Amino acid sequence: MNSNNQSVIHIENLHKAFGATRALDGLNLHVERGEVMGFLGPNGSGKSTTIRVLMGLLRQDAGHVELLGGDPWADAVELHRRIAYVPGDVNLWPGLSGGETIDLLGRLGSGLDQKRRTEMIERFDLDPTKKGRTYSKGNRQKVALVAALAGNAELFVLDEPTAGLDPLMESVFQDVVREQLDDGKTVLLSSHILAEVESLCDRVTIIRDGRTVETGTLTELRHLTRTSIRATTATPIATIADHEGVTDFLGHNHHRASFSVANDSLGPVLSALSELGIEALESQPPTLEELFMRHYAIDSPSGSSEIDLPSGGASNEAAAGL
Amino acid sequence: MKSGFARTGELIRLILRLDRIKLSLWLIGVCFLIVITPISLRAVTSTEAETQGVTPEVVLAQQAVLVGNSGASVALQGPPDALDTFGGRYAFEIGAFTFAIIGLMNVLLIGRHTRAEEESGRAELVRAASVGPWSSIAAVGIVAVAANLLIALVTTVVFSADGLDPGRSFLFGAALGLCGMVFAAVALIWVQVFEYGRAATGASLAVIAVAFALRAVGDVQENGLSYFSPIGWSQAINPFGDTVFWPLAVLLAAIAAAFGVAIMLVLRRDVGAGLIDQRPGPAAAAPSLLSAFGLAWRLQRTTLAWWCIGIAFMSATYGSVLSEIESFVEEMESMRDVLEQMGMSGDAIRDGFLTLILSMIALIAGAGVIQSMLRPRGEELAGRAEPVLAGHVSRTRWLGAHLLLSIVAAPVFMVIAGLSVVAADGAITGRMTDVGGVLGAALARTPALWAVAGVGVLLYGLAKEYTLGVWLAFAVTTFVFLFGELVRLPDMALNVSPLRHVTHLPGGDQGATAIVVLTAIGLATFAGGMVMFTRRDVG
Repeated sequence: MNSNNQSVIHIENLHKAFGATRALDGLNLHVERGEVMGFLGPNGSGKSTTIRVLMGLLRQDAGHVELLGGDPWADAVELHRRIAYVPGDVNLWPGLSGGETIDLLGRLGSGLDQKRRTEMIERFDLDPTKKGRTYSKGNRQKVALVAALAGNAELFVLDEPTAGLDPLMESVFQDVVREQLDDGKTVLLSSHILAEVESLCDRVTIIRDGRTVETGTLTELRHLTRTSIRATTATPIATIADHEGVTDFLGHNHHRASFSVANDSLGPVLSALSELGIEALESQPPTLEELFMRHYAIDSPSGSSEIDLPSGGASNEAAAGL
Repeated sequence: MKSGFARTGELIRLILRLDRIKLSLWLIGVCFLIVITPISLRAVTSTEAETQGVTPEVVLAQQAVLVGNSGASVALQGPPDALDTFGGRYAFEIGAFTFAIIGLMNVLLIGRHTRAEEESGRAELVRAASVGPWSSIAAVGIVAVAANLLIALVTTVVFSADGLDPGRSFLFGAALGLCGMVFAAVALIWVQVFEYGRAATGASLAVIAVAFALRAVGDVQENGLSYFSPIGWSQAINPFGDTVFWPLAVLLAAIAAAFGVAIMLVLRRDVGAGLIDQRPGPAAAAPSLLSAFGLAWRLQRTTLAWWCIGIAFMSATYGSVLSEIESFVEEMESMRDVLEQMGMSGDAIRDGFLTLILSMIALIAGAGVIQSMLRPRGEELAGRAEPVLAGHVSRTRWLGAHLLLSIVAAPVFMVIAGLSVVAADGAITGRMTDVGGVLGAALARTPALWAVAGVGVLLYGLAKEYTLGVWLAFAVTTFVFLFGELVRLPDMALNVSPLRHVTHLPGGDQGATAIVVLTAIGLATFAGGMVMFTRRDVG
């Protein structure tokens, strides 16, 4: 185990099946030290399963997984001293108070700094004397977050950590994560809150059906997509419709139209437009939503982008096993 | 008022769907006990009759003297009424224990569909649909009533088919069914009062235990205590002897009253909340909590303490009739002669009774050990194993902490049992008799508990879904204990029950091999299950 290794998480061609269900089917994920990696994908695409493999809870069927230079299955106990984990479904002991749970998870996890514990409880506005079963979903989430963030972990594995938090707490969470980054910590963040991903993540990995479909910085990903243009030209605009890279062309009249352009054709299309004499031009960069919609919504043969529980495949099976 | 019960029908269908396997298994098990008793007793008596060249009725009458004068049998089974009739003998052999088992079926059924559903939050989904406040308990109540009616019906049919008077057969069936319904209705009250399903179920089990103990003491001492127990009421009907009908009215009134109280309590509380409020907890953990073992102890200690109390209570109940058993025999000249001819003294009777009750308490303690052993499964299913195992806690340590408690619980339970028997006997007779011998005999049964629970550990190591198979091992052990001799199982089948190998008499030193072998089996299964657990997926 070499903690100076630049690669904190290194997953290559990971496979995991639950019975006949292929949860992971050749997934790749690389996280570098000191970055926040956004881990995205539709419900049921395998995010939680991947995270559970990383935490040594599930054993992979095939593929290479390296975590902080070690083997997440064989070296689980030692590795977990350096990792803080917030599960997608936070389940607390009904009879233990929030404070007891924080101490317990901290102590059994990556340690607990008393000063930071007090600070986190205060910042997340948590009442630590309430019993586990009386906490709302958001408060359960806060208990897990305080336990994770008050420790000395070098890697944070956060599975939809802010589901259920109010916007105020959401911003507290982002602040705390940024502070951790300033301290050189690494974060793997699975999230559906795109504003959070946009504001925190250096890079994102998008998965679908247990496979990695896209990975890169947000800027890079934007390049892969399209810009919407609305233009008014002096001469008739209709010819643009046939230009390479132009789609969704909608002519409002002879001189005015809106369409979208593949980003790598943006230059030529703009030149063509200026030859027509641009009178007005509005361009809209792709929003993150559009980016994700593209990856999420494309015809999914197995229908895996249907509504699913946020906890992912494994715990659904557990529930069914009851 | 009608809307208060809206959609009860749909909820009944939901319960039947969710519970189709568990409830079916319970009903099959209970009905099996009821079917097997007449069949085996007929076979036994006719064989004996042929050997002696008399009618089976004569054999029955001979046995009635022996069975009816055995204080141990009376304490376990019920009042020795009409034992010279086949019906009376069947009712006696089916016995108080079966009433308690039916009670258990009802209590667990109610628990599964009330508190457990609320704790999981699923009840909220149901209540959010246009369902009345009482629909939920009405639905589970109706399912329970139907299950008990089915038992009553099967009893009637089986006994009638045996050639008994259908009316009397029906009365006995009704006694079984109504008693089950009383326990179901009482369980419905407890689930309103307690916030946790576990506590509610525990309280209901305590009611069954008290009901059983009251009638045990009452039947042996004939002091009327039995009339304070639903099981006592049911057995007082005496359908095959001088039948009385008032207990039917008492049972029906108890059912109506308990169900009424439950209905009233529903309105006094919020969904998910109990009537007994939860106080706030400490803001920080005590150092003793902060380890895998500390957590396991915290999670299990209340349940274990209740088991200790229950076992002490049960054991003291039997201990208190111990001296009675001796005088029971000594008072009767004829009995003493018979026994002396068989080479048995009053002491032997006492020892025989002790052996019997220690084995029975061991069986009940076994359920406690199994419940403790199942705790890690519950934690895993609730998603609470995950955050601990995501810490620097190895799987062996996490599971080992829970299992250590199960392992230690077994001898602790048995020591408490032995001490309570001796202490209760001592309190009545004024002298402590053979403390070491009784304790030794009690402890000798410990390895059997490990072996049964070990089956569960192995299954858990394999997959959490299989773990409940441990109750099958428990059911087999119980069946062999209660009915193994009666139905004349072959030795090979009898020997499947680990408890049969450690039926040690107080002071006896027989069977050291059995103790060693069962301990080894217990340890091996626990270790094997733990190793398998480190190799499987969690969550």
